[in-house]
Amino acid sequence: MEGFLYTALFAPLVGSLIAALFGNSPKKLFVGLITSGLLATAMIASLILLMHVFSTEHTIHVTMMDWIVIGNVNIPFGFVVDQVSVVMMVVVTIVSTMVHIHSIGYMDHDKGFNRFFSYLSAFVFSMMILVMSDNFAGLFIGWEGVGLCSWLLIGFWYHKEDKEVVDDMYNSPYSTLSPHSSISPGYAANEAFIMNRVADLGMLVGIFLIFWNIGSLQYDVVFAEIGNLGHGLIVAIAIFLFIGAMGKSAQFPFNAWLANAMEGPTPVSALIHAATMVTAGVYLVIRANEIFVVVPEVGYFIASLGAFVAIGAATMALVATNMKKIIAYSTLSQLGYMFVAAGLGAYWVALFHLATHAFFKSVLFLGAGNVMHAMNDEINIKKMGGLKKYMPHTALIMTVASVALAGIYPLAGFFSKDLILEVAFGSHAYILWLVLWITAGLTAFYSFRLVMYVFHGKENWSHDKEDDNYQHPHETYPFVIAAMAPLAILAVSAGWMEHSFVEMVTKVLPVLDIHVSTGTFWALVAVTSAIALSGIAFAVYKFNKDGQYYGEKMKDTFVYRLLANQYYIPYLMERVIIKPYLEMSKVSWKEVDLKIIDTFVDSVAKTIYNMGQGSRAMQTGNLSKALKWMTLGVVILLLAAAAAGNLK
Amino acid sequence: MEHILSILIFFPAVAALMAFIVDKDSIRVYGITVAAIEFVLSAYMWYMFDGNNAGMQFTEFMPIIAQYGISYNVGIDGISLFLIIMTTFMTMISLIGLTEKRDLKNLIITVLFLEMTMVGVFVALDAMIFYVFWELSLVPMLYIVGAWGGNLRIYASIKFFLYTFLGSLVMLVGMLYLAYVYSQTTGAWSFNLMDWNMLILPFDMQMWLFIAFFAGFAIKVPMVPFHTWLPYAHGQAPTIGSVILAAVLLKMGTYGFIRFSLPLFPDASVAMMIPMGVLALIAIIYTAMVAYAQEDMKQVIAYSSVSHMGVIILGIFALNVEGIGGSLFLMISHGIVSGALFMLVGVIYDRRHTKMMSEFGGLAAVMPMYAVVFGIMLMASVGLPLTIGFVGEFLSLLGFFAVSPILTVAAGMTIILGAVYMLVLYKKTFFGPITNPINKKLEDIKGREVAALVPLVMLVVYLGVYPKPILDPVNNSVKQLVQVMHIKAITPEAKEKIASVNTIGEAK
Amino acid sequence: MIEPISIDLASLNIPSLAPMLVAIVGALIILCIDLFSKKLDKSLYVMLTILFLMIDLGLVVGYTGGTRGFFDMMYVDGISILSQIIILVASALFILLALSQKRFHEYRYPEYFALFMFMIAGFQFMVSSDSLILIFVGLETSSMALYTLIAMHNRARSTEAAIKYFTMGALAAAFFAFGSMIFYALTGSVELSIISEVLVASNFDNYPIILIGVVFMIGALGFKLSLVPFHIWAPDVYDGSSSALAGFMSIVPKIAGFIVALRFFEIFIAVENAWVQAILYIIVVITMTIPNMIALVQTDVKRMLAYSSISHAGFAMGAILIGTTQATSALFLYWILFLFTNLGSFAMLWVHRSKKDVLNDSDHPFEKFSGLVKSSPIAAAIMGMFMLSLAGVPPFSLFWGKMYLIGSAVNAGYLILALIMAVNSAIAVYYYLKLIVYMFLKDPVDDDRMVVMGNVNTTLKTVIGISVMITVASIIFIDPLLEMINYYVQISGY
Repeated sequence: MEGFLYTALFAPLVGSLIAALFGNSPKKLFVGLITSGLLATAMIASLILLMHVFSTEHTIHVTMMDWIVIGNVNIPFGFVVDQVSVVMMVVVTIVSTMVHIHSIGYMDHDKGFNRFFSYLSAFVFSMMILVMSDNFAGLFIGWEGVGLCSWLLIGFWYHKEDKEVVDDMYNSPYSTLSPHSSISPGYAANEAFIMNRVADLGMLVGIFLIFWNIGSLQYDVVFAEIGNLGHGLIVAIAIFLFIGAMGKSAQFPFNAWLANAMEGPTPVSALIHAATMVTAGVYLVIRANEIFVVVPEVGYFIASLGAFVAIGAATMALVATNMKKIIAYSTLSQLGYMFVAAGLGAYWVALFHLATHAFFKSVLFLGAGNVMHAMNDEINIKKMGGLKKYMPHTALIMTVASVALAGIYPLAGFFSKDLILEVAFGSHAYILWLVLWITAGLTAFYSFRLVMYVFHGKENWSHDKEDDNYQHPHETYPFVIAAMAPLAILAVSAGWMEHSFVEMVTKVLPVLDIHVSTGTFWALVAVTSAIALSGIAFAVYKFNKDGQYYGEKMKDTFVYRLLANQYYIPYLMERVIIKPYLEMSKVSWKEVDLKIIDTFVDSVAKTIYNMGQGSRAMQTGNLSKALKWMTLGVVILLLAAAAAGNLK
Repeated sequence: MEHILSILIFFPAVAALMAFIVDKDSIRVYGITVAAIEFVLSAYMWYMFDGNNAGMQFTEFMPIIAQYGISYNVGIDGISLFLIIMTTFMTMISLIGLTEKRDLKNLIITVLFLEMTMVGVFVALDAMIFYVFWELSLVPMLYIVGAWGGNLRIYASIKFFLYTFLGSLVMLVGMLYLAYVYSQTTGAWSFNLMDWNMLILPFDMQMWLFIAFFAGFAIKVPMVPFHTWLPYAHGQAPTIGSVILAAVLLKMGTYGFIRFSLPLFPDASVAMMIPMGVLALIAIIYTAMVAYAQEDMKQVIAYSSVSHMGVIILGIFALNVEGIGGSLFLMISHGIVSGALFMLVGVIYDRRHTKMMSEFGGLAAVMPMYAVVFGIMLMASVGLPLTIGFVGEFLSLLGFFAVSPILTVAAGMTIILGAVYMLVLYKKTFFGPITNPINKKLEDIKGREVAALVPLVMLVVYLGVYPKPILDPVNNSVKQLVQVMHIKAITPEAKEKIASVNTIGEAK
Repeated sequence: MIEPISIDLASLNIPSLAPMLVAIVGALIILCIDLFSKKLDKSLYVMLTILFLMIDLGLVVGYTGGTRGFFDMMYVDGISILSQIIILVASALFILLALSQKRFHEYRYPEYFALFMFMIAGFQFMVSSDSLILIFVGLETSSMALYTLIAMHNRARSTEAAIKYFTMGALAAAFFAFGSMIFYALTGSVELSIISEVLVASNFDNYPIILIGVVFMIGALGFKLSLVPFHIWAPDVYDGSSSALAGFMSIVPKIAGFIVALRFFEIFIAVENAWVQAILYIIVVITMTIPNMIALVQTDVKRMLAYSSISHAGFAMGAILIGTTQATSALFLYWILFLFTNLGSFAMLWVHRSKKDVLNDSDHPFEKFSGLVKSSPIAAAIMGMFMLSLAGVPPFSLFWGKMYLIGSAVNAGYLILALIMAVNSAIAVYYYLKLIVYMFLKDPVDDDRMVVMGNVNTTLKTVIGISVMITVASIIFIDPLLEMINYYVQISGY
């Protein structure tokens, strides 16, 4: 079985390295094929491992070699395949394989074709390390690794120039389409990396705390020992680890980078910023559930934050016009759901939603990719419309995915999301439940707002070649659709495996101990489905009625502005952090370093030099002056002598 | 092979003398060959080195001024071993990558002399011999900066020389006093470090001596606020000068702290943990900010060096195996990474004769290989796991966390601020469209540059993935060092402190 | 009826006088030779001088007799032998510089060499007697000769310098005479040993008077050793005389002066007289510091070296202040190493001396040396080494002297003094580096009035070669040297 483990882990790396060899050479199709092939291999290996773990209930734990060994530190490269990590492996490999294939089509005309696949596979490798490591340091390797790859991939089109930062909500330049946000891929990449680093510091501190109090970073040791620590200490550890999770999963206040990360190619958004990397935070909480279980107060904080983000992001999605950003906000919101579940101690539920979400959200993004491709990189949903008859398959897939996202029976979203609401209600967190319930409605609404704008209604573009918004939309390659099909199918069917899933993961994750009477259960299902359906219905009805959603006067309201400006978070970051820091840096260089410290150092030297100039006056070369000096010296000494003499 | 160390020290010097005869057109090959042989010798030394023996190895002893206890006394342990190898390696690399045209012969001869002094500093076990090499190393560097430097070169070189010389003289007085104390206690004169390690000093004396040595080391490191010579030296020095300065000369200071201050003045060191930590913290954050404000690529890297040296100091004054070992590893990695970064700046400077970031932009399109190497070094410099930069930084911070979590969290800002200035530099230089038409026809790194940079890249990755070869010997010697400190400490508080920072479950 | 005074020759202990006699006789012989033949080349006289000096040296080293001699006028103890060795070696090396490429006025006169020998004899008397009278005689003999030697360089500035030196010297002589008088009045003796005994016995009564005497002696010795504020003459005189002679003056007369100072101040240091110590402390510190600072702003290398020599004298004087045996050894070690380095650097200037009168009548402006490494790298390298050595950069010779001296200060508990010494050598580095910067880091200025290497030939090269050897390879023979010094110092009980 170890063979499969190593295959699953290293196949992507091999692919990445092969692709890297051709990084600077023009497009080579086989690069895409090889990497996809190797990813498929990894996927198969993961599936085999899944079967193995599921059937035999044996977990596989290998230690490859030592990494850092000094003093009390002993960190190996160790990997574990247990019920939790294997689920992640399967999800990651399935999605990434499909995304790889999809990219062969999507990056078809891009001159960075080979480079792209090298990065993409490298990302998968890092993600596998993240999920498979058997210790926190290894997790951190993957953690930073995915960060690096996301930096590379967000900034993939590094050659685009910086745009002006604007606060106009309607006519922002292509790269932003929303006020005060990213000005170029390069900018977005750096922003993502740096913001994650801030959170990583928190995670690092958590790791330090664990090390100095337990003496090891191995999961099994840590989780065995954690109970013996003081409660305050555990709280601290939990909080610091969660700060790391907040960064990767873009929870408030680290949320800004995710929307800007949409600068990257769409398959990247599908893989990294929807299905896998951003869920790493959730995975961390699930993985370290033994720690979080001990401190429910932290858990409750996590849940509340999750709910807060869920509704906040959903509301932002209501008004956004940037297709990718709508989906990104929706991702944020769904991550919020997962954290609610994880925070309330329903870890397997969180993992379940993580998996289902990965499928329907990635396929949603891939669909968006097809649309952008067809509309040659148009991204404003208001400039689309009526695309259904030009690209039927994409339209179908995206609609299905949206339904799944909205959580309609019997699609995947229903099972997982409904469970979360049930958990919230069952653990008497009624406010959280209410928030999530509303959010469910919003989700349904904005998903279908997008679908309507893109595929239905009148065409907001022209067939006329002279016209500046001329388009000739066309369905993408069949094999791309083929690559999306499996994900779409999973988006539909993933929920049906709930029971076997629960049976497996509860071997390591705590079982749900919430008991709602059957009556309440059905009531919950009913209201949830109701609000979701009505959300969809409203979206469709309103669009068919007057082709748009918000009247002009509504757009002048404070609320609308607030949402369109993403609650002014990017604006504040710009004003409160970025600009002041630059100013302070300039001051500390030009004023403190040059004007104070260095000037002082030099002035010491100058003083001595000037004293030289001064004492030079002695040397007049004038004889009588010289004699006077000598006599003066003697006289002074005589006075001193007299003084001393009298003393005795 | 008991004379390997003397050979290591004096081979470059002898070779340098012979170089006067070599014709100036063939001098480059000569220089590279000599440096390569020197490196092979050091590698052989590593091969002969017994990693399980924590004590001094290959020691040689020969009295010079018997009446005053000064003797030629050299030897290495796990602490100095890799600094020597790094020295010989970086000298070789910098000579391979050397693109200087003017007056090449003198330059290479000077570099070879410099190599002698650098190796000498790291192998000396006699305080006076250490001091001799320590001071002598200033002279070639003065010449390199002053003769091949930029417009302000003379100001820069003299500032560098005077500043460090002043500090070292104070240290010299400290050394003489220590020798005096030794003669008072034992009746014999000795400058032998091994003898001094036997001394148990009263606390006040330890503090004074610590300060005296601090004057020498802190200026060399350099620690804020004694750092202002560094930006000038780096800004004006030719590429090879910056590479060696950053890679090796700065490490002399931190090495001095480990070799002298810690074992000789354990109580003072314990007392100074927090003060030094604070100084280091200021260095880390303050210079990171200054680096962010720079407009000149080279200055960014110069200030980033000061910032990283702060992390090293932090690790050293954690006084635990993790911290000191980590700081040693960080010395090596910073030597390789900053050296590489200075070479990379040199590459672009050779092509455009400017280092201003505003002059560039979009280089990734025209110089992809260059961009890749720069990117790797960047990631190593911001301490990405699986690059050489992470291990040392991680261990140093981890180590100091046992001393003061608060300070460590603040110092951890380095992983953020470091990313800020490096990534911004990278964006300004490599991302975006090519604004300046001249940059359109820049040629990518080639030949000599590749030959110099590729080994560095390989090291960065290899040691990042598998640091064990370095960490093992370091671990043994540092363990012994910490034990020595624990034994020698006179105040129970100090003993207790040293013990506590080295045991699990004590951190609060 | 008066008993005829009968003196046993043996009791005179003639060998104690022999070395000086050799010098004097040598001088006379040279003069006689000149009577017979006028047109003899300077090389003859140079070699003769060296011959006599070697015989002299032989007698000094081989001296085995008792310390006292010639009515107890002579006092030949260890340090006197040691200092005589220094004096003779330095003189021999110096006189070789007379064989320079260019022909200079003074060397055409055999009298020059005769006077030189007289001067040596005078110094030898100074160091090998503890009778204030004989010391005075020696002092004056040597000074008179020296004044003339300076004047013989035959330039306006030389004569001026000689006169200045002479006049101030007269004042100093007066101080010396007055001081001795006071001590004679107090103790009824002019022999330092007896003075010391009497003072100690009488527990220093008439303290004020004693101090006055001390003050005058300080004035006199301060002049000879160019201690601030009695140093004013030094720069002008060095500047006026030829580089070679300047180098000589910075070493030989001073060592003679140091011996006298050592013998004299020992009386007070031994009993730890606070006042004398305080005064000396102050003088030492300002003598180290002020000339150092003035040297920073000099534009002429020779003047710079002049000031630096004063500062070095301050360092050595510190040893006398400290007064321990180690300090005394440090003094000699320091001075021997300083001898070769300083002589070497002045010789290097001598090498660059040309007949052409360069701008603002300064022989060696820094500009003259700019870019020297391009035209004559070896010369530049050598000069650079001398500068580094003077600056106290290891492993060059003077570093060991500095190190040992500072060490002795530390060991005697003079920590502050040690730090001041350290800081001063840090300041000094600047002006030594200045020359290095000019030679190595600047580009040559083409100005035909500035001739480098104008005066070089094999002899000069040899002298410089010796100095370089000793400067660079010092680390090897510091140990034996120290052994010898310690031997001589210990037998003479300082």
